[in-house]
Amino acid sequence: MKKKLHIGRDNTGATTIVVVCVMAIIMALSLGLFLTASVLLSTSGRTLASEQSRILAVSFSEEVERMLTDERYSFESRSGEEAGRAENINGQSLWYYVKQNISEGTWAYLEEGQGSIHSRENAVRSFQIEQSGVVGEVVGIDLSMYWTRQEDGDRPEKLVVKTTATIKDQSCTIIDVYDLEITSLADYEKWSWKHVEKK
Amino acid sequence: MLKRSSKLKNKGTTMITVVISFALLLLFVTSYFRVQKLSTEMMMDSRDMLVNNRQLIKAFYLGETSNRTVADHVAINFSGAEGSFYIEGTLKMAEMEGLRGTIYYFEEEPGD
Repeated sequence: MKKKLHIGRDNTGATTIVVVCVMAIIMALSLGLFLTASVLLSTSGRTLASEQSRILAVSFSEEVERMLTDERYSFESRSGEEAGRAENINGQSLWYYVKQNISEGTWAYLEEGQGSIHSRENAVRSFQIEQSGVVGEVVGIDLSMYWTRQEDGDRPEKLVVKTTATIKDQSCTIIDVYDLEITSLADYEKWSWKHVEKK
Repeated sequence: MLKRSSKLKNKGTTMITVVISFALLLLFVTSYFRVQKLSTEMMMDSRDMLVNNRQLIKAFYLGETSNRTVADHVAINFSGAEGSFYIEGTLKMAEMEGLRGTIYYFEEEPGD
């Protein structure tokens, strides 16, 4: 009995402990290597999506600019503007939407600290592209817009348009600022948007 | 007397432990090399992907990609809580032979 106890004490499994320690180090190294490789692979996948979304956002913001500053919306009379609106078979264009909502007073201007009506929540309008317009890896294009008034009245001064393009899980936002030039012509106010800043 | 005592101490238990330990070590070393191979492949893929992306973007900006029109002068509808409107645009796609990936962009034809 005494001998058996002695043998048990001498073989405490030291070799197994050493091997388990070595295995733990190997496991840690393997996991570290695998984790690094996974991160590298996902980062590489994101670079193209990031560049794709940037190209899409920049090019679409140029379409928005073209839509707001196009010469065909340079009307000289109310009847000309109405005729142009009637010709639109696709519905309401961005230029008409902005003019109608601002001039009719249904869209509040943005001015922080001027009560809830002119707060960011109420003044910033967001729009999403309809899903029929989405192709390939493009997840969506979003537009959000707000306008600010001139200091000496309620007339609009600037229109800010944020264009966000999303491809896979990568998004890019381009901000465009437009100045409004109002020309009074008899009974009609001619509105001309001028692109002043892109960031 | 001492020799006898030593023999009694090592009745084969150590040998079994060593064999099991070596088997486990072999298993883990094999797994390690498999993971290492997989990780190396992933790193190579990642490098290839980066090179592919760089070449595709460069080709796009240099006008070397084959571009085609997806939708010509279409009304792109936007809707939100406060109404809807459309923006006209021509959507194009750019691809390059031998490279993976497609770039979508809007562009007006010259003269439009």
